[in-house]
Amino acid sequence: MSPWDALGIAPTTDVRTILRAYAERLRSTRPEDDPVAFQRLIEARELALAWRPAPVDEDSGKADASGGKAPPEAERDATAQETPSDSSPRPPSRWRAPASALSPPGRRDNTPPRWRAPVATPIAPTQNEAPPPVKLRDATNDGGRLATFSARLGDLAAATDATFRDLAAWRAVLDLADTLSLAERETARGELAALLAERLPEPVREASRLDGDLLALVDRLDQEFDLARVANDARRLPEGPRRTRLADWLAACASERTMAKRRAGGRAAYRLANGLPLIPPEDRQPALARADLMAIYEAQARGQKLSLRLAWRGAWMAALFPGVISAARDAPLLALAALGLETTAFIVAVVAGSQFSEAGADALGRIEAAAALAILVAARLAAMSLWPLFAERRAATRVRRADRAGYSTPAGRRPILSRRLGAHPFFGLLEVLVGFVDLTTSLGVIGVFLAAFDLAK
Amino acid sequence: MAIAGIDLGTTNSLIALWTDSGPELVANALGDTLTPSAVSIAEDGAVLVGRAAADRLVTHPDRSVASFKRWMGSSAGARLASRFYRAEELSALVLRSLKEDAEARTGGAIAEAVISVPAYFSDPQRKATLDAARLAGIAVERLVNEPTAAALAHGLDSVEEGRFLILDLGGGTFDVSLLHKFEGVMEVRASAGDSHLGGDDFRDVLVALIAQRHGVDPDKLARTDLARLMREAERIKHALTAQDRAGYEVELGDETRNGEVARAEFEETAQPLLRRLRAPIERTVADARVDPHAIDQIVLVGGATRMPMVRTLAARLFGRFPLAHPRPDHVIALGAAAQAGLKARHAALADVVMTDVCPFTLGVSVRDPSAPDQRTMSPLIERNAVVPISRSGRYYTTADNQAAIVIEVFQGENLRPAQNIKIGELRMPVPLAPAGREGVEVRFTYDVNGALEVEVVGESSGQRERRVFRNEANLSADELDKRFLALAEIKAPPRDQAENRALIARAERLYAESLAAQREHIKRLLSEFEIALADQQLREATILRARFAEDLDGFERNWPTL
Repeated sequence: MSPWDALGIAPTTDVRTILRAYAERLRSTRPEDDPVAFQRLIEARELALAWRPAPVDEDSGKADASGGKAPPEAERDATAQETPSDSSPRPPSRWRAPASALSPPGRRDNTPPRWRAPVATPIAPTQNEAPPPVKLRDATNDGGRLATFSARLGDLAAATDATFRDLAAWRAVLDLADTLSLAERETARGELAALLAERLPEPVREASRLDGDLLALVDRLDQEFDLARVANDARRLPEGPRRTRLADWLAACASERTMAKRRAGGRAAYRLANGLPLIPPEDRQPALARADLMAIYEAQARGQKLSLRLAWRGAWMAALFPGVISAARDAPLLALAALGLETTAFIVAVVAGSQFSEAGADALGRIEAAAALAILVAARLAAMSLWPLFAERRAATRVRRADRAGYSTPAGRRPILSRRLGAHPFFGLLEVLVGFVDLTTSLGVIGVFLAAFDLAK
Repeated sequence: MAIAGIDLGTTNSLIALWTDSGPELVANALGDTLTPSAVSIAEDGAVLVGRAAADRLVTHPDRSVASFKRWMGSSAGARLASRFYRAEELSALVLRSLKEDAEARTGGAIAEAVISVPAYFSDPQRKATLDAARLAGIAVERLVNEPTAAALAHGLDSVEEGRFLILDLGGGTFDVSLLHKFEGVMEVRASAGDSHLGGDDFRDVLVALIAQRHGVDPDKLARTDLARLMREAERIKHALTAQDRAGYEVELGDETRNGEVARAEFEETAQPLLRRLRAPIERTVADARVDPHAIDQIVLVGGATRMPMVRTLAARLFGRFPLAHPRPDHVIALGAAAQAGLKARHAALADVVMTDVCPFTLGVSVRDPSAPDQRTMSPLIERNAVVPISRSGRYYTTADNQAAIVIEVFQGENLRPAQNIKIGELRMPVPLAPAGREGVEVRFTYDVNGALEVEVVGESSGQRERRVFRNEANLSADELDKRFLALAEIKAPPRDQAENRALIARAERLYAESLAAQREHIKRLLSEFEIALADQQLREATILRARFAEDLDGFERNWPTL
């Protein structure tokens, strides 16, 4: 169905007629009653509004309420580029080209996502491909302030090596931007984004520490110019490395901000509302390292009760080798405690065993053997249930250390976050040792217990 | 049965009823339409809401709290008189008091209510608001975006058609919307906002300014001192609207500090806040694809737009003077009531159709090897799409023999999911196959009530999974019931006592704020009043109350302004 059928009017470029027809249909197609029909109506209206009988450059529809006065060059640029990839299903800019394509029979369906893929690329380059200085000259705004802004920005861009070094010049540019009108700022934003995408240095991802001045500058530009919007708009910056580079810088600014906030917030900032130590999502992988621990932490952070399956995922290993698992999982204190308990159990068992007579164990021997087993089981239960807590607290300490050291990039934080005890070669040796103690003590205790109660047969 | 619209604000809350003659504000027990969003627990265990609680912020900071809207959606809260209250519960107490006011007015129950929320409230914050309504015992099915409510109220008010840009700067939130009114249709073209920017931030600038001037650290002040300082800052903020300079006198610790703040100085310090106001405005205009010259009116609503610097900013951005709404504090509540009327299909609104937008982007996170955390946003519903809307996309496995595809749902404008708000996730098992062979179709449907439904269909298995995100509360049903019962036990004082309580709280506040000689005077007035109340002579109490109020008014009028 063509948009004109949906609206019930003949093809026209008259905005008023289209809106009137739309309003009339809307009364019988209310959004809350029939969402599907309503969406179709909206799409028909947008297609109708974008329709042009002959290839003309820009519509008068956008400017109809300004009393026929054409907007200045710069603004038209901005408006035109907003059309294609915006939220609601706007027609592609192609729509306004050949009239023949629009004649009712030619248009079969109005499925929306047609505009999505192809449009962004052909339009954006005209804005961005040209190096900033060239583009900046053709700001034909009467104000002159925009021209000054552009010229200043051009000067900065021309200083290839020092683009981001001259902070005083940037401050002047920003002060100038403060005085611009809304439409002028829209142009200024585009120029700025193009410049940033072009000139921002790459090594955000692998750098261990970001250039503080540059970060502060980008941060300020972001706050002033809502750069996230620019970075996210395919119509301003084409898909590709330059766009992601800007996005990465913005992400770095954001993490720098949260880090600074955490540092300023003191102890309380490192604690979740439910008392859990804080390990921010982006730090979980390097800091917690183990998939089971991450799953457990995430469930706890969400305030869910641990499912038996999840708890068991990490616990079975702890049940078998409490010493080893505790050491490997970053809980040396717990490992020591478990080891101590096990040794105690072993000694108790040995004492009990030495008292056995030919005929078997007496009552005291049996009690001692049972006590030894109980201590062993207690050590294991403690290791099973406590190891996530210990590991999380140590991971949180590393997060705090990374914050204090002022690292905000993943590359910078990783070495600190992943500095786990278990990773040290010394611990490999210790683990074997501890595993041996684990094994011998448990076997000894169990053996004595079985002998004491004559269960071995 | 009455239909109500509620503006649950950061500083003040209002309730309006939709009547045959249009929206009508309801006054509270003290006769004001604005009820301060403050809660205080009295020594006898009664809960005080509104003016009395706001006054007790100064005298009983450990039992009183305000500005809790900022905590909505998080587990933050306040400990008042040894019990911990979540933001939902505090909001519920305010809502309950508003509901009682409305019921006292109509004599019946509130059948249905619409509550307004800032446009940029995230999903958890919206859920928290719904939870608060449930705790207060109000049936709320729909939330309306504050800028939409403002637009609706303004659109119904104004006779002309055209495009209006509505800037709403409230106590804690800033919202912008562009309304196009034509042929009886009110179309919100775009909205944007900042849910952490409002009049309170401007007050805090003044607090910091004064504190810095006297070399004190606001974080280290005693709670009473800080409350006093904040109140004084609020007062000079208001004074600076009309005057070029305003004096202050505040007792911090044992010393009385005084001085004067010039408007120019205030504006200079508030510059960073002003810059933050610009982004949502620019975003709205750009998203609506409207030429700034084609906007017919720029309308200022919200109490904080009274500040001259906000008006100057709007004037400079658009090159013309904005229109100050005659009732900036009431617009949202009136709009919410109109929305409630629309929803109930009230006869008076039969010819009006309103369409709204979803002010934020909704999408899923996809794998992107080039990103630092290997993930990037794939938007499905882009911001400012007309609602209801339904959009779908296909996503494929990225590893060989991948067992399942996890669809993580995010809300926000950033390219990197880590900086957006996670709404939830769904998991769809897929048959084992080489990477990219197996896929799912994900469909997002966002309806007029602001509920997001996500449907995932396995491409080869045809298996379907569907989830509506709005229906899950932050608190579980059991938890809600438990808290509901706990709140029901906390009694508000009888309505006829509200006025006395408020007067006493006010006198106590004045006592705390004033100095020796004046204190004696207030103390005498207060004890006279309390003795008379204790005698329980109702007629006399009314006369006394009037006289007491007059005394206090006189006292506050002669407040030393330097």
